[in-house]
Amino acid sequence: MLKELHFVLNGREVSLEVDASAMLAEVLRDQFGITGTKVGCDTGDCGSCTVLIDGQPFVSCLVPAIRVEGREIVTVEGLARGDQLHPLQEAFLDEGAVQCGFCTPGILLTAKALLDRNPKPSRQEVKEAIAGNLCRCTGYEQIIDAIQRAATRIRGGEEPGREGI
Amino acid sequence: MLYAKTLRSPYPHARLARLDIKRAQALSGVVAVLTAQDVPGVNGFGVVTPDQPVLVPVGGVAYMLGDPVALVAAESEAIAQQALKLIEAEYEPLPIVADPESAMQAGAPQLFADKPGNICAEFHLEAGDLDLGLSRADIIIDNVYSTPRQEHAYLEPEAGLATVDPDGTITVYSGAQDTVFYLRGPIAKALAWPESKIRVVAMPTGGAFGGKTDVSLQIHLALLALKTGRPVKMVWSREESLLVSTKRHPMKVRHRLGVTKDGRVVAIEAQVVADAGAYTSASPWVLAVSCRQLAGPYAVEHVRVYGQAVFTNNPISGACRGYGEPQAILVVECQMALAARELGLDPVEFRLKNALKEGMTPPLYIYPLDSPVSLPETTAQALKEAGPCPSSSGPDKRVGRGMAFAMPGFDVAGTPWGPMAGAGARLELFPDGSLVVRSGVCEIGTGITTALAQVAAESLGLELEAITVVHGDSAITPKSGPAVASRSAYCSGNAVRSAAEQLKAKLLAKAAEILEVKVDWLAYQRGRIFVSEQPYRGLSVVEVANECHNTGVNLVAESWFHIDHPDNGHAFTTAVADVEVDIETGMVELLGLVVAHDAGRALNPDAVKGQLVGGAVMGAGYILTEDAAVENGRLLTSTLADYLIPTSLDIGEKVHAIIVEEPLPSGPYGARGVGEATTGTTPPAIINAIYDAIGVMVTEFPATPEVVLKAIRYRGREKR
Repeated sequence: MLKELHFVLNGREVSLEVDASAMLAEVLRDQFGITGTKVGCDTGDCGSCTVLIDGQPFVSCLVPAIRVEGREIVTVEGLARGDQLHPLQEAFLDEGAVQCGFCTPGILLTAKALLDRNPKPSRQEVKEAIAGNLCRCTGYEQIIDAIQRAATRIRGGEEPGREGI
Repeated sequence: MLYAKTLRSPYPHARLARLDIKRAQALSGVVAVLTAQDVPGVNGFGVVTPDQPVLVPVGGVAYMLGDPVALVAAESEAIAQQALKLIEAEYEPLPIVADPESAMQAGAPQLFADKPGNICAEFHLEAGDLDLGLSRADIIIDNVYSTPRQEHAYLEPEAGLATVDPDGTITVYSGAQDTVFYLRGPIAKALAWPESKIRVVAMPTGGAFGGKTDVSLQIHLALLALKTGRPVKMVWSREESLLVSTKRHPMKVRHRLGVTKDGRVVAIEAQVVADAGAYTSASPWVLAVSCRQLAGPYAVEHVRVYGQAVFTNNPISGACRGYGEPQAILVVECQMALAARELGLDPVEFRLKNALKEGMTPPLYIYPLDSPVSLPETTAQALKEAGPCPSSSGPDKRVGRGMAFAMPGFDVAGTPWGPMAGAGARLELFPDGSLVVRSGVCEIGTGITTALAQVAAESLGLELEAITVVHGDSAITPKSGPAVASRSAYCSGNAVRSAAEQLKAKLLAKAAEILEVKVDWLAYQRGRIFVSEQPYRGLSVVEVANECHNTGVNLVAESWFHIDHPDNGHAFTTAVADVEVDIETGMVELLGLVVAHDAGRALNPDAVKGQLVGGAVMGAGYILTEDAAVENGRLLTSTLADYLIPTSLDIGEKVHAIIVEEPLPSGPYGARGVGEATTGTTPPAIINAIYDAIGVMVTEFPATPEVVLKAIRYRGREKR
């Protein structure tokens, strides 16, 4: 059964027809063709599909698409402004926090939600915020460093810039 | 594009008695339903021997839960899923071989007619005279260790797409660790299709860790594309991935360590029984690698190791980060900790006293060590970083520190065996100074593609931005062998460097011609070629490249890297762990972890650090929380909520990774293998830390609260 759905996606108003049983993750990937949101488990256990709904992180594989009527959705594609990367993205690159990259979009969004509410998180607060995002490659160290570094930059404590390899 | 799904056996051991696909075929939107009779060529594949079925035939036997019996391709995923339910499959369940011990007993069901006793592989390794060695020992540490079944748990499940071109070329895109040997060959054999008309593209892959070496869905996709003539996509569910993909070999190891009272290790004996699961996969080699590592990095004169890998109806055991070494390193380093305690010796000094040195031949290897053994350095740096031991946080808590070190192996393209026999690279320099590097490497998240660009940039004095790396495509990149055995940087890095040197020679020759000087008068530095004695007389590399292009000098170079050295290379790694054990609940909290690894030369320190930390955390999960438990052939952990990999809260205060650099002369700019080392060294450091905390050595893994509590309760009993 198809339903009309209207919401704001990465700052843009959108409307489309979705299957009433479709989850948000598959609508984003298959109907909008924005595949930054990854599906790692389909049961909400891994966090790879995390998107922001009205600023809060949710696992989009468990959110029926029709539930986001009228809401503001931000995916990883919504972080950069044109060519200008978000400070979190810059920091992830500078700290070597990306290996295979599959968990990265979900963690970036979880981190954004954290920094939006807590601009100066401690290491422990960062760890607790991303505890629902599994990463098998990095062991989390460089990710935690990157999030704290981005927090410093957003607060104006350091000039951002792409460092040498 | 069509969407494909797989019907799988719900039984760990059963004959497929009947299969009726008519109702599925009749469903609107279903384009093809394939069974075993649709396999044109060999209905089998496997990295060592093709004993795993592409599709189980009617009358044939499914040897593991999840064995594929039919494929459906349909216009949508939902229709394909529905069609699976319409396939009528009847099975006659057969007695289940549930574990290696019962598999080897007389009267056990024989799974395969040509494998008596259900033995998949056996190895007997010996050095010196074990009985003599044991007679010289003042103490013999004798224990049995049970290592768990680990799941790779890469975040990206198996996924792929296959297409057919009008000329009959079938292209398979998937996440993979290899293209040519492990995929293209088996696809061609199964489809009875010319290998020259099969193209395998390894996409940037969301993690692999050894679990994406075997064929997963690639033959299925190729078959469906061939039969339907249309592009076909398949994505495994997480449950499918957990049930069907290979696992780390669970092993039961009895290890005897004979030591003199002044701390000299004189004898080692081990017996290994490994659960191979339902098919051979990589068992023979994993077993061999594991057996070899059971003498540790120690100069022991008398060694005997006997290992067996045994078929069962359990999930297949195959390649998993470390490839049998983690199990062995775990056992050896726990034994060493026990010996040190019993003899009243410092655990670090005891190990270093017995460690191999440059020039010595490790007991179960062929070649002497051809570079310094940096274990003293990795150990000193790890301990320094670890600092003072933390104190306990409460009356029911015990804190402990443990360490372990090892000499993990990595492949150096020294054997004549096809997949690992060498690595190729092809470089092309364009007239504008941009460069394309072509390598068969698969980018599974290690950053190898960046490292190869760096090697080319360093060799040719080009900016990194000028370099493009084309990788992992059997049609357009030279084969490089699989991304396994911590080999990619060493083997493919050497290939790229060698090809770059060839290009450099061509550029120098042309520059000499232009400048009217002899080649050996020239210097090549930072993108410029100039007369050494007269630096103002020179040209940029771009100018020379352009001139080559205009005068018929082809700036393409191809290299094949191989050495004649049938032993693997060696790396050196130390891990130090601090834990706090709650003696009421048995919970183990990792407080801190330091790993130090001799990377030879870290081509990309960020990427190397990432491997060291990531590998260490994977080792921590292996030993504390990860148990892909199986009961009567059924995997009990079919979601990531049951199979617990470390989260950001499970890494202690911090995981410190220290890169030590003792260059390996034969490595590209001195680099050694890196990817697997800390996965093997971290687990025993943690178990030894628990031993330090509670005074009992846990020998059953993972060290869950139940296991630790049991150990605490038995503290009073005699236990070595």
